Amino acid sequence: MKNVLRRVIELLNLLSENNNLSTENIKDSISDYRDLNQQAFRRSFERDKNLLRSFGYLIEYENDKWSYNKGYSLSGYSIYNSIIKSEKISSDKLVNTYLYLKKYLSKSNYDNDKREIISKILQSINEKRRVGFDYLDKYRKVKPQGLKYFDNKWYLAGEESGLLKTFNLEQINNLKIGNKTDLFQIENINFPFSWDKEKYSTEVIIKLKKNLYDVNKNIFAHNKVDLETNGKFLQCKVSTNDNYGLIKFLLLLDDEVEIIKINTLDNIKELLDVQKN
Amino acid sequence: MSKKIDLQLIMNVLSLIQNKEKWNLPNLSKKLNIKEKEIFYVLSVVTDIYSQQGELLIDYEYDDKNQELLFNINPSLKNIIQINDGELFNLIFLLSSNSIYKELIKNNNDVEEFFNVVSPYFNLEILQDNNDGVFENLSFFEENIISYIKLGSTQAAFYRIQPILLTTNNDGIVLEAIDLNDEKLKTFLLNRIVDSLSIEDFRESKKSNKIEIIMKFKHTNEKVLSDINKNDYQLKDKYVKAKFYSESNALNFIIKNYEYIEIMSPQSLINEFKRRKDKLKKKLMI
Repeated sequence: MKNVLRRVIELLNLLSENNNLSTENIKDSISDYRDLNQQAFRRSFERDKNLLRSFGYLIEYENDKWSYNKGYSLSGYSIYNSIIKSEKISSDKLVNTYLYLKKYLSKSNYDNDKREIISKILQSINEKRRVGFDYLDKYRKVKPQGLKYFDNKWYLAGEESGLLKTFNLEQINNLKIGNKTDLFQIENINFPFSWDKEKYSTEVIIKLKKNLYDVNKNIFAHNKVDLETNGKFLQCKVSTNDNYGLIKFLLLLDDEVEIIKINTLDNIKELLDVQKN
Repeated sequence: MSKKIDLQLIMNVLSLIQNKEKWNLPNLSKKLNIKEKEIFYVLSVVTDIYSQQGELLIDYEYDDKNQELLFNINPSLKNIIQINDGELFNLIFLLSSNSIYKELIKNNNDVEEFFNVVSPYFNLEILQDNNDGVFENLSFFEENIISYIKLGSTQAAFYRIQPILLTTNNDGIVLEAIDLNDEKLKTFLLNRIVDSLSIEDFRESKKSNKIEIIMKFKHTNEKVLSDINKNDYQLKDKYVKAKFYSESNALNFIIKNYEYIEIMSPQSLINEFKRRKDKLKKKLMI
């Protein structure tokens, strides 16, 4: 493990001082890689890149068709630099407070893909670069404005074709950052969800314990109107287009939820028995 | 407690020591919250790395008598010892949950300055669950009693815990704490803690007959695997053998992913899921 740690620090050191490094350059510059054959080097380099990714450092291969520069560069740490340059806080105090907070708050346990998407979005927001990504079978080009957290999910808020929209991070794939910086202004503070103005197809009146609603409500996207609270019990009307989520909510609560009225049973039976490929 | 030496810990050590040449070892150990021997281990990792100009990145002498470390730090070290964006983002997100912030600022006013300087770099809108009151009554590193509804369950159970850390995962904000009855480190989703109680109110609840369960299933979408700890499953083609810490935990997984999985075993879970589906159909009269 000691050798791996030393090697990834050497890699960080190399890439923090140089941009667009070729694989040959990287292999020649790090002693542990130098003696490996090409295949073993590739495996080792990929493992080290993944280890760095898991700690939030992104090593990406730049391949801009408009530029002669091709090769590996490091990103994912621009904010710390900006803070220190701004002189609003000394590096000493920043690091000390950071270490104090680390006693109580640990690093996220998101998977590497999610961590990488978040890092890239943060970079694109701070450098005001456009991002492109696959989302629900369509390629999107978005000017990112911020991130929104709701119901344990992260959403990218951004402008697509002049309209402010929200995109669930779980559905974003192959995200790439554009080359040009300072392409737009960040003006928005609140980000309405794309579905806020949606019409809901399913309305259901349910009765259950309030605390059970509170801990399970994140299972599905919905609007809720309280109709009656009686001690620990809550009667409410929920409206949703997320019928899968509604089914999961009802299955989890089992005997603890009473369905008083439902406006439609369209596709509920099919969804209950479905097996997706 | 001995800490795992990882890249993050090494970065933390480097970030701190770059601020001055001379460090008192016990003081450094306290600030970093690691043992003195672990500091020496970290130094052994980094002291034979050279800068691009061929100079040592970091060198040190240790004065045993005064327990002091004297560092010679190459300026190019500054290029690599940065706290990365993801780390800062995670801290600001956790601090944006008001109750956590209030708790931490009580003990250290610098937290407020840190938050005010760093948070503008993240354009975040956080819509939080409102269980502030519950969290305010919890104290770190002390005994607390919580009422918690486990994933897949509809019944609250009492836990005698000592909170250690807050973190985030795909299910939300997570409290890592020692279960003082089981003497084990456990994780509790913050939004499933429904109450915190005084010790006087606590009556020893019945021990749950929680037994680990092995479930075999076939998946049609590999995204379902992100809900299971990587060390807890084996995958062959699309067939998965996964370990869950209890039957209710496995049932929660099944319900959350039912459209993408076909359960092969155990029969008890196949039956329970079928029972719930049939019951729901009956309730809906479909």
